[in-house]
Amino acid sequence: MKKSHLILLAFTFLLSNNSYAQKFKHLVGDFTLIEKKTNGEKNSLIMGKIDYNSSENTSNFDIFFPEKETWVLQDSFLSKYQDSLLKSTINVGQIGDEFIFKSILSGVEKDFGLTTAGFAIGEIREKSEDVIEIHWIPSELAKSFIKEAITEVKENLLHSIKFVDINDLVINETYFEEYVYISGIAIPIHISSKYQSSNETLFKVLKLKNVTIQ
Amino acid sequence: MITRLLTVFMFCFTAFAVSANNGPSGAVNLEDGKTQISLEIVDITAIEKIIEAEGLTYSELSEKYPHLVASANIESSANEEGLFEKSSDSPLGIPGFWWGFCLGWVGMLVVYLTMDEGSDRKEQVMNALWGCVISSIVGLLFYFVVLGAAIFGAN
Repeated sequence: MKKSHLILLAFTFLLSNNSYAQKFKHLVGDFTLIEKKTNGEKNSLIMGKIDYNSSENTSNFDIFFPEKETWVLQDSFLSKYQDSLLKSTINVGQIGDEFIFKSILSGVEKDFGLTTAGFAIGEIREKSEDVIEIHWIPSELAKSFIKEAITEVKENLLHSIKFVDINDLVINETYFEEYVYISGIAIPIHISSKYQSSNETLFKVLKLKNVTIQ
Repeated sequence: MITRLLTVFMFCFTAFAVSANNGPSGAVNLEDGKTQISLEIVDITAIEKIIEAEGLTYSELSEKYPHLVASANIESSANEEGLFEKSSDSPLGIPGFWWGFCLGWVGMLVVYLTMDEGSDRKEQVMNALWGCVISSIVGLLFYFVVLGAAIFGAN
């Protein structure tokens, strides 16, 4: 593939933004969240159903493992119910409506906000016939601890992102896999991530199933 | 019986995957991060399959498959801290997750640069990272939903 075609493809992908995000109202789906740590701490497996309603600004988590319980997240309060009885309500932080609202309105750019964070596109490579690799150069501020970010686009779908620190250690890699088509649209239902520090590693996997959207 | 076979299968698959992933020198190919992540969580994934098949809670699972639960070393209750924790030390008192969720990598950088070196910073940065990922998923879903609606509308 010609270099100019490669660059055009990369920019086409990056510029196809999600500015329609604010029209989204309701998402329902089964989820599995796995977290594994290498420092000896307990690992985590949470399975349940998520019901996210943007017009009411609420997230309901009907969890069936490890225990049957319901979490309701509204604004900055997380209420936990068991057998329909309120167990506890926790203030999960000073989270204003404005923050979440802003996030919903703006969505997330396909460059993972790298441009906003001051990253600039460096080299663009054709890794294989259908995979484009984009290297991102960090801002001067971030250069003190990040060497570069690398995104991979496969068949015009976001496939992975990696962050490399100044010691050439990949401190994070996240993969978007198992795209399924709902209403003819591709949705990644398996997202796995690895965070590496100098003395421990954290693995996180989020799986989605039976996703419906209204 | 089926779940035991499934567990055995998962471990056999792991052994095969590790073997297949090794180079001529026997060193694991670290380039293949996806495989590494899958291998690391294979014991938890085995439990996930059992839960899907049998609908057990943690206590029921511990009773029926004690060795599996012990080897996976999983929490007995769902903890919100991974996603919704609060930290008085994080910037403006806002948890790292939400910095990452709302501001993406900018938020992650804010957390990293404003907190003191230590385990708390590390945890908050990781939560910010997870916030980024979740936010990206939500963002992508928004995009897919509306594009889908537009396509349907056009038809």
